[in-house]
Amino acid sequence: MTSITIDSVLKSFGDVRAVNKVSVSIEAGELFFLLGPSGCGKTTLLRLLAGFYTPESGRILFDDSDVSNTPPHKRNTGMVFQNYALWPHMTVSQNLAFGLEMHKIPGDQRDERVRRALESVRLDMLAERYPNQLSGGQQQRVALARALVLEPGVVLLDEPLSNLDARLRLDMRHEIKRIHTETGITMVYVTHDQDEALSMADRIAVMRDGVIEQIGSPHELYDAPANRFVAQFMGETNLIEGKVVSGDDPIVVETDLGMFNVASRKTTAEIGDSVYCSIRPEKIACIENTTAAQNTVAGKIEEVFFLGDHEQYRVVSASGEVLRVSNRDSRGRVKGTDILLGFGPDDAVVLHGN
Amino acid sequence: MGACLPPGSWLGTSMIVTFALLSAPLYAQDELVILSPHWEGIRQEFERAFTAKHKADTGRDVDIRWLDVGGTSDILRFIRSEFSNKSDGIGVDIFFGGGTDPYVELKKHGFLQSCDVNPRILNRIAPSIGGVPLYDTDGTWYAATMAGFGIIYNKLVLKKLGLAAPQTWADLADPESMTWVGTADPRKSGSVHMTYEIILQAYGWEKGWRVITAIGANARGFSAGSSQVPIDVATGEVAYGLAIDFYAWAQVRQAGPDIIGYVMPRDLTVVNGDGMAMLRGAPNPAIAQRFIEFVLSEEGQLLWILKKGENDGPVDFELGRFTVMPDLYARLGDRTSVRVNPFEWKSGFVYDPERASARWSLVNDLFGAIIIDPHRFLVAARRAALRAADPAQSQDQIFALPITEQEALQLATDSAWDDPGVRNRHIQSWSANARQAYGENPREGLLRNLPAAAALVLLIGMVIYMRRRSPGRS
Amino acid sequence: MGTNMRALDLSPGRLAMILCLLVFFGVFLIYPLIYMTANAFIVNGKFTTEFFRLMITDPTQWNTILNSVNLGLAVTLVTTIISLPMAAVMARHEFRGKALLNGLVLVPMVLPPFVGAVGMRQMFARFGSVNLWLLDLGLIDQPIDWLGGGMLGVVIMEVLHLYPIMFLNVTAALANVDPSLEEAARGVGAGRVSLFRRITFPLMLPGYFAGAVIVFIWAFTDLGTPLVFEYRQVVPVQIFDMLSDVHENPMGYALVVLMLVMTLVFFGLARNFMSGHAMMSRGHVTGASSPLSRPATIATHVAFLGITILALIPHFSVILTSIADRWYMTPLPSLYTSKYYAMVFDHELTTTSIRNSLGLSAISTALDVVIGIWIAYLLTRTRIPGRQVLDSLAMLPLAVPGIIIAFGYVGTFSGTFLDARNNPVPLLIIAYAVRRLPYMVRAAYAGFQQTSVSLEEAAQNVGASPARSIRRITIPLIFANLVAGGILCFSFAMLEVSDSLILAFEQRYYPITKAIYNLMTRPDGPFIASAMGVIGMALLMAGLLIAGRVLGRRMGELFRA
Repeated sequence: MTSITIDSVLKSFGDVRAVNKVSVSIEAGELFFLLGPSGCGKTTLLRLLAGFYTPESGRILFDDSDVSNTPPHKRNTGMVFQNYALWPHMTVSQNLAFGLEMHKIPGDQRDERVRRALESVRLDMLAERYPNQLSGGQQQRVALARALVLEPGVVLLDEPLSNLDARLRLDMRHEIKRIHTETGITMVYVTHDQDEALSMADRIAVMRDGVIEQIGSPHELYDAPANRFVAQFMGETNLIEGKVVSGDDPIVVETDLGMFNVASRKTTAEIGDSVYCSIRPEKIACIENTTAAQNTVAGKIEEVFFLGDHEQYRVVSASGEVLRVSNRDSRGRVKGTDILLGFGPDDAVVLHGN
Repeated sequence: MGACLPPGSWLGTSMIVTFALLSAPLYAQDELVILSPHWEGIRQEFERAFTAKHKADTGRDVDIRWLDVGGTSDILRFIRSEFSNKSDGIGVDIFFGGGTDPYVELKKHGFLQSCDVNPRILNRIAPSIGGVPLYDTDGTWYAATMAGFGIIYNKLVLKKLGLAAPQTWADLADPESMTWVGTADPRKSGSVHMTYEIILQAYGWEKGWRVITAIGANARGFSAGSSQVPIDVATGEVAYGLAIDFYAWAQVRQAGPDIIGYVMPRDLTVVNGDGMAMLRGAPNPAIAQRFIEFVLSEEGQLLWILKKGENDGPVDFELGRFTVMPDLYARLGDRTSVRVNPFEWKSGFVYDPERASARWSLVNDLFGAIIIDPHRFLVAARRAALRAADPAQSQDQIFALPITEQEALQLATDSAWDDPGVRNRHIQSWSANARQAYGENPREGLLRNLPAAAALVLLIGMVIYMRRRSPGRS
Repeated sequence: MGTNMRALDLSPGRLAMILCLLVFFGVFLIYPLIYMTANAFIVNGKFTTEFFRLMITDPTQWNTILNSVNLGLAVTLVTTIISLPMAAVMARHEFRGKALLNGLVLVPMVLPPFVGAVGMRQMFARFGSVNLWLLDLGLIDQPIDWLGGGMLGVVIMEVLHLYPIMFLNVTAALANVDPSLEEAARGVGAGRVSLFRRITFPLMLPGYFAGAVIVFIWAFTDLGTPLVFEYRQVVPVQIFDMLSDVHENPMGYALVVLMLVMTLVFFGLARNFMSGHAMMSRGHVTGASSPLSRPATIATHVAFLGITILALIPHFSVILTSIADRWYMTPLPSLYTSKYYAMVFDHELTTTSIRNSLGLSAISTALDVVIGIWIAYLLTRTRIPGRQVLDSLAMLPLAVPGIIIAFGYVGTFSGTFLDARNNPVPLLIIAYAVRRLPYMVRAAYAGFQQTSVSLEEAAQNVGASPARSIRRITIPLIFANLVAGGILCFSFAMLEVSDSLILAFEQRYYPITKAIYNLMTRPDGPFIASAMGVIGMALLMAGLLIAGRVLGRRMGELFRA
């Protein structure tokens, strides 16, 4: 188990700073996610960890040793590539054995470790197949086994599930999670899929334009996003523009939809600040009557999306704002119905306008 | 650092090793470097025999390196050019073959190194043939064998064309033979040069050039090597051509006497020594001396003349060449296929090698300037002259010679011909004269430029067109 | 490692590779060219343009240059006339037997024109087979002068050898014209003629131009064919003749410079337009091709077969010559024999030359493979500065004819330890390698491009050094490309003419081609030379077949500017 320290690392391509003085500490044994839209620098950061790039400035430490300039083959990381990068001219077991051979592990031990690694991903019966004879999910598991067989200090996963279909993707999430639990290896996992990140991660770093916007546990990121970008990126949300009119707890925000009371938490908003209220669709309830405890908005259902276990409504308020609302309880509302929506002060988050 | 080695270095390393092995000289204790226009058969037979002899005499292996830079004229230019670069030796031991004249010329320039041949061996060699020496009294060069010069012809082709078998050089100059004569370029081939020199000496300068020019006008083309001529005769591309005796006889053996014939014009040709010599600064003088003595000894002489497979004869190739050892002719009987004893051959004139070697290069240049380079015009002019009302008079203009024998010898012996400036000026003026005499049509010259000019215009057009259309510009 | 090195993507290993390559190209490609240029202009320490003035003022020189240009033009023109319709049918139509015909077109390439000429002289002599046959039939009463005293024979021989290259290029050019562009043009009402003029022609012109340049340069600089036909008034033969007094007469250098300037200009133009062209229309290669009607299919087959049969006449005559025991003044040999094949294998000259050629070609191919991999690696896998330069250097040999390289080596390395007169082996290997390097680089480059970088990264990630990951992962994966490129290099090296004739002075180092050239002087020379030619032909055919199988349609891309 290895801890990773990324200390104000800078890497640019031409004029673009792909990773702009990023600092993160990843604890030993952590399943750490790098999440962000494409081009945010997450893959670059992962490749910096793997050693395919060297930082222009800053340092990368594995435990206490500086590996910033260590070439990839001396870093002791195991990487799972987006396209798996299985060597097509080698069988599954040869794919696994190659790294062991490079590390000069004697033949009998090599076979044993290959067998164990394949068992751990439940592929021992396919050892003599070639990659092109395997399904996507099997290839994925070979790639994983190949990264694990060397028992590296760190496993790096670059969008490992993006080439799989939806069902397999869910299975593989469990698989990776299970392996992480069993081995306890430090894993850094790059994805643009927030569901994947939320469901699996110990901690997540959300990146945008080469910088980290927020680091935290899935709960923290979901419930208390640090800014609009994070709020929007971590699942669906309604953002309502407004101005702080009272700074006490709860904060009072004046919006086009009316005055909202929002729990202050750790926000530093002061009176007069332009802010956004972020309310997740599932936090909004469909209510019958206005109550003092809740913020209420009246509107009309403009569209209904049936999503199996719940329905989602597009609600247009009197002032013309659009809200999305998830409803799991009393279903069967139809387009054009008037509706009253309510949410408590704890259901909303105040975010700075910038 | 091993990890940083570039990919493919394993292959590279193994390659360098092989490379080194391959380029290392083959192991041998002694070495001999020979520059020769002789064909493969001669090289191989003498190499085999001399190597064995050397081993038997000295117990040492000798490695013979045969250098090939082309025909005799190429070799002469090569020797001169190399000596101009490295005056104290050019890394070559022996020059072997090419007639007599080149040796006279090389001796004059001091490129040869004399070597004394054991008198016991030399006594059996004829000192001269037809009045021409077979070795230099200073010991700089020795004739290793001899060559006769004549005409090879294809009997079937002549029959189909309704022509008679040739008897003299002048028969090749006959208008009937137009385009059917094969010859090599004397500037490249020593033996063809020799033939033309013989014609000049046999007929005299003026008449000689007349015959040569007419032969030139009849020529199909001018190949680089004299050996091409017999082959062209055999395939029927030409009817007859100039050839040395042994090339012709070899072709007769190959194609059969029913098809190929060979004649040495009576009184008008000579048999001449075919020399060898040690070059100045030879790196292996002792071995070179042994080689020269070996070639002149009976052992060496038998290789020239014996049939393949005879005792003491050649093993792989029949060489069919004359020996310079007169007593052998009577003794060999059926063991040889050489039926002519050149020492009994009578010429109508005495060949002068001094004169020949002095003007070697001048004759070649003149031949090139008035016959080869303007060949098309020469042919056209001759055709026109033959159609004219008075063919004889019209032809006189074509055969007008720009230089007398006296002037030529003057230029050649004053070594003015070694000055490239003088030489080029003369060549250019001869060439211009010839073109004028042959009535070069300036319109035709322009016409020949036309395709190139049209292509240039098309090219420029294409370039402009594509440039206009290429992205980023349109 | 300094920060600068890292920014330039340089590691010590890469730096070593680049240095090796620069030294290699510098010493064996650039320096000889500079040396010859300098010698053409600086004589006895003084600058002079005398020798270039002579080229124009001396009618003999000018005539020689004109002959060469006209020869090149004639060959280009005739190959165009033959290939254009063939390529148009191939690129735009589907019909039965298309694949077969496509393969058939390439067959003539297997015979070096130099060897073909030997057989041609036997068959097309004025009293050769063809004329005798016609005379016997009473069709003519005078022998026809087929070879026309030189130029015609050379043109025919080179056309028959080179039209496949033109065909490959024109087909590729047409395939590059996205048929949807044509369809779009038809959609907006363009007629057939204006369609060709406005769309097809401009789009295929650069591709055609590239092919034409290759063909022109090839014919313009070919030494072997005019040499065998004894058509000596052309620039390459003149240069060849200048070899013996290279130290005394700078005219050879001047002619080399003239030839070099011409080939470089043409080649530069072609490259320039090809690169622009690639941007316009790469990508869509497959397109709608219309089926041919039955009569049209038959006509196509007849045309293709006819041309192929014509093109195979030299091959046929070489084969016939090689088994002829007696073939004098009869349409066909009067006696047949296999003795010339036996001679090939037990004569010292021939066996040595075969051994030499095999060795020299194998080593030069290995050299090509290594250098090709290095260059392809540097071009595809790194962002080192000066990659453009490297690319241009690797492609430069396409524009530098063999005769120039060989002539340059003789002059440049005279008196050094590489002097070809002492031992031509190193220079022969290098000359072969340099000449065919572009094919290898292209083959390797294509391989690297098709192979995902992440495969190498995965290998590095599990502990393989960059060099090792190339060796263990990429090279096995692109092996087919390397084999194909290697086979091409090897086959061409085996039959390389000008380098072999010029550099090998000593019989024991003769490669096959020089041995053939030498054998021709023997009375039985044409027969043995033909037997060797047939062996060479079989070899090259096998090579091209394997390479074609491995490379498929990408084969055509190797033969262009």
